[in-house]
Amino acid sequence: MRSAIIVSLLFMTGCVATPVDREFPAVPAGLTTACAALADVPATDKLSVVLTTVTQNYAQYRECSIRVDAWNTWYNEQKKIFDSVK
Amino acid sequence: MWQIMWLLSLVPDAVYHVLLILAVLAFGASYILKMVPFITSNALVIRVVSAVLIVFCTWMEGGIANEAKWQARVDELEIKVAAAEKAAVEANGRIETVYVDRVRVVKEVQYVVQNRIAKDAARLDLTCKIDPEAIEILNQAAHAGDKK
Repeated sequence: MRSAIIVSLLFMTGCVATPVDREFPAVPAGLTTACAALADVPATDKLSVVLTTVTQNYAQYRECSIRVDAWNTWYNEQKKIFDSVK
Repeated sequence: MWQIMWLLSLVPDAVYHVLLILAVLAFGASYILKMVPFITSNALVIRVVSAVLIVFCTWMEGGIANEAKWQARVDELEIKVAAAEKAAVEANGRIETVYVDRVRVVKEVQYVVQNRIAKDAARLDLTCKIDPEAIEILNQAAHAGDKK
């Protein structure tokens, strides 16, 4: 019985892990910025002031939308690269 | 147990190859070379020792072959990982460039729009007066779903 245990232990020594360290790449800093809140239109009766704020908000939305697109593209591409190593 | 394996791994592989060959030869010699007095008188000991050596060296040969196989796999993976890391860095750069370019276009367009509003402000403000309730509705819409 004792011999069997010793022999089985010897055979188990063959089960040594041979790890290859891998890390998922870090996301570019620009993509991690949170989207800012939309700006309020100040109290006014002038259309130009309203338009200025509204178009600013449109631009802000576009920026945020581009960031989300870039983030999705980044994740999908990096995952594809990461999963390609097998 | 890994300490024993570590110690055994320090011994060069060639030692196990030579030892296995010698053990096989000794085992065979214990049966064949009966005319040699030393072998004849120690035949049993030679057989037992050489048999033990054959088993041990065969096991070690298996370990060496297995280790070589896994090392080759590790080397292959390390090359693939290095290539993947390079591709990841390139993809990062490409995506960041596209992102920065698109944001720049948005800012440029915004600049043009703001200038146009500023240029036409007098005309726009003259023909249209905004009701305060419209501003309230706009601001309310802008904050719909905000975090509390």
